[in-house]
Amino acid sequence: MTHANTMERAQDLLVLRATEGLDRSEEQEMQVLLEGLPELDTDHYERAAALVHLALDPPTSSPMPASVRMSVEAALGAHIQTGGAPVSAPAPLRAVERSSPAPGKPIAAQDGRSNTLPWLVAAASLLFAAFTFLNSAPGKGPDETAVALADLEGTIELPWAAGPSERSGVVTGAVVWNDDLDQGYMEFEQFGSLAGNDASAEQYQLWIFDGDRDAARPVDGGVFDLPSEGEPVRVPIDAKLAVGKATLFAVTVERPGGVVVSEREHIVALAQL
Amino acid sequence: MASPTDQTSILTRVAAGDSSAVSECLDTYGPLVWSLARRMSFDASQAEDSVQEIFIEIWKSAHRFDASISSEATFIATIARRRLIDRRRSIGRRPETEQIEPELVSGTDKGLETVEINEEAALAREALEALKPQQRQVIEMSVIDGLSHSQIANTTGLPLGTVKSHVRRGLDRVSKILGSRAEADHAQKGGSEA
Repeated sequence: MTHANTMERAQDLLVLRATEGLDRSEEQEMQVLLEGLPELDTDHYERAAALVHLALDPPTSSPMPASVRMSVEAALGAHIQTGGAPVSAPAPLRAVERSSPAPGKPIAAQDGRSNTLPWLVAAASLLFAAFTFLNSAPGKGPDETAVALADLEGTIELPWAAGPSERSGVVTGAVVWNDDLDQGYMEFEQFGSLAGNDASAEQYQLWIFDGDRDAARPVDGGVFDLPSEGEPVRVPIDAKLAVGKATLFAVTVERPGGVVVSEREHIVALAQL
Repeated sequence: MASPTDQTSILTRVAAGDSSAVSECLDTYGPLVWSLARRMSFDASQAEDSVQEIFIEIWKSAHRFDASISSEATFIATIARRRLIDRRRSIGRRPETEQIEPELVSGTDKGLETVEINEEAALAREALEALKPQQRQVIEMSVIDGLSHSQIANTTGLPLGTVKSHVRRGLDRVSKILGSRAEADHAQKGGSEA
């Protein structure tokens, strides 16, 4: 395919994404095409479509219901306090005291995304209060909110296991994740063979396998590094898409900055539901 | 990143990790996100879940906001639409907003008065009004009604290729009003002129 044809097809797909969305195969095709078109403004058509929407169907002035706002505030509070913003350096893990069920067992059974609002509203008061308190109380930090996330209904904790790559080794710790909030973090306690990656040469990338999606297209969970010292660390998960029901978390070794589609050459850690 | 003249914008503060921006962001853009979610979701539960996802995504993406390319409202509407389209796609049908609006609008607030659209949107409207009626209809059916290109072709009797061309050219035309800097940036990056 010539460069012009590649550009044409990529733009067709970008228009489609901006208006009706892409199916899995189209999304995969677009990502492959875009890898060869770094000059392309990939948000161009989505911005234009948003502007058309604002122009032709202006938003109403009605505020969101109080219960919805409260749940959003709670989710944002947890997101901010767990360092949910994209970061490459993991936050040190300090004195985390979390209720720990038997390894491999979820803290609470997943029952899908239905009925999320009632518990969210109930949890919102607690979380928002904690969020407000943490913002105003010196000495309180992400760990306390991480504990709150770990204790929320719907949060699962999955222990790490070594991956099939020869570069893997003993990996202990867990993934803590909540499908309803689309948030979580990774804890690494022992990660000897993975410690001290050279971020200029390669980085780790998390992939989240979603039971509601094609297993061939896991959700990108973000790129991260691990320190050279074996000190336990906590790494926020930065899921690039909404996750309906996480079933498997996998860490691969990728080029700096990560990849759109992993070759899965080096899977170094796994955590499975 | 935001321009130096935009240091006090909400998204700049969000990108800087300013947790005090939460309330201001929800006050300012809550109605916009809620309005889009309500109109593009199948039911109340979907709208509520979507709003939460959208604001999390706004927090994750705020560092990408560039005031020289679009307004904050357009940036946020872009994020919101992407999430809502993804959700709509995963469920596989179009929203029936008339079914959910009555349950969601509060009793005392009729809530359906539109807010004054921003300057960008006003210019976009002018650009759209300059299109041929058929082109504008296709754009509306695609962007506002959420019809697929095939559905639009079936509804209007237009060839599928014509529908795709109308949508793409219409969006290209609207994008030009995003400002000279965006236009220059777009041209520099290879553009999308068909």
